[in-house]
Amino acid sequence: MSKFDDYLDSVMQDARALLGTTIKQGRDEAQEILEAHVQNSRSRLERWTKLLADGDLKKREFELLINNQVTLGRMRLRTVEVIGKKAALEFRNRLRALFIDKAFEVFL
Amino acid sequence: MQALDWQYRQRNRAATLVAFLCLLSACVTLAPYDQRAYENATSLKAKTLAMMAKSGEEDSYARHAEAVDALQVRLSAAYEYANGVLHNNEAAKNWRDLIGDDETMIGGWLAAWKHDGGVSGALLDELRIQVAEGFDTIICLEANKRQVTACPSLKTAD
Repeated sequence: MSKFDDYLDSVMQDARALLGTTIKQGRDEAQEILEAHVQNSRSRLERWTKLLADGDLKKREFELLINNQVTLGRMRLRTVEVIGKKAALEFRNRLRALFIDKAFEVFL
Repeated sequence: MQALDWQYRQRNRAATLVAFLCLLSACVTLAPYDQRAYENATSLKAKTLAMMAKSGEEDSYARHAEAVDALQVRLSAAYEYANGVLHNNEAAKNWRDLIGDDETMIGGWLAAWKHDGGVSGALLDELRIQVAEGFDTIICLEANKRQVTACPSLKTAD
């Protein structure tokens, strides 16, 4: 194998591992944030329905809370979008550094 | 057979290399972390929640109308600041959603306060949770622009 093949193999091996860790961290964060929203929505809806039935909330107040919950879901999705972008950027930067570091390691 | 295997490995290696090089040049745009934007969110969260507590008092809107106006100006300024930063679309939209209108979020709370003079205890408790969460979402977004990071406040159930 040529030195260049060694270089490529070495980069690919580390890049795969890097891809696994960087993207996985972002994906796990995003998943937990969205799952918590689903859980919260369920428990809040139960609570509000009871408050409405007991006369502690008016219909328009109930509607306001529902509108807000939908808005919060949308806001969380945008936050998750940013987490995904940041994870991709971090991966890109580390990959760039990896290409350079490995070149020094193998060729010099 | 060995030659074919060697060829296959070379082709595979080249394809992977091309994929990684594409990733290196991929166009992902994201505004950098902004300390001022982060502080806007944290300080306005505290101010808004403090004002919300006052809205629980009966016939309190008129007494606090001036302070409410000042708060709305500061919230609008935070939105305008976020909206003026390049590649900051998600943060700006989140500010706009948090400010809301007469039927959602902060705007919805203010409309209810104005309409009834004071906000009932049951509604206020729920609104405070939601508005605090809205701010936390913006704070989390900003923090993640610096580094992928955990946001405990967005992961805890009520």
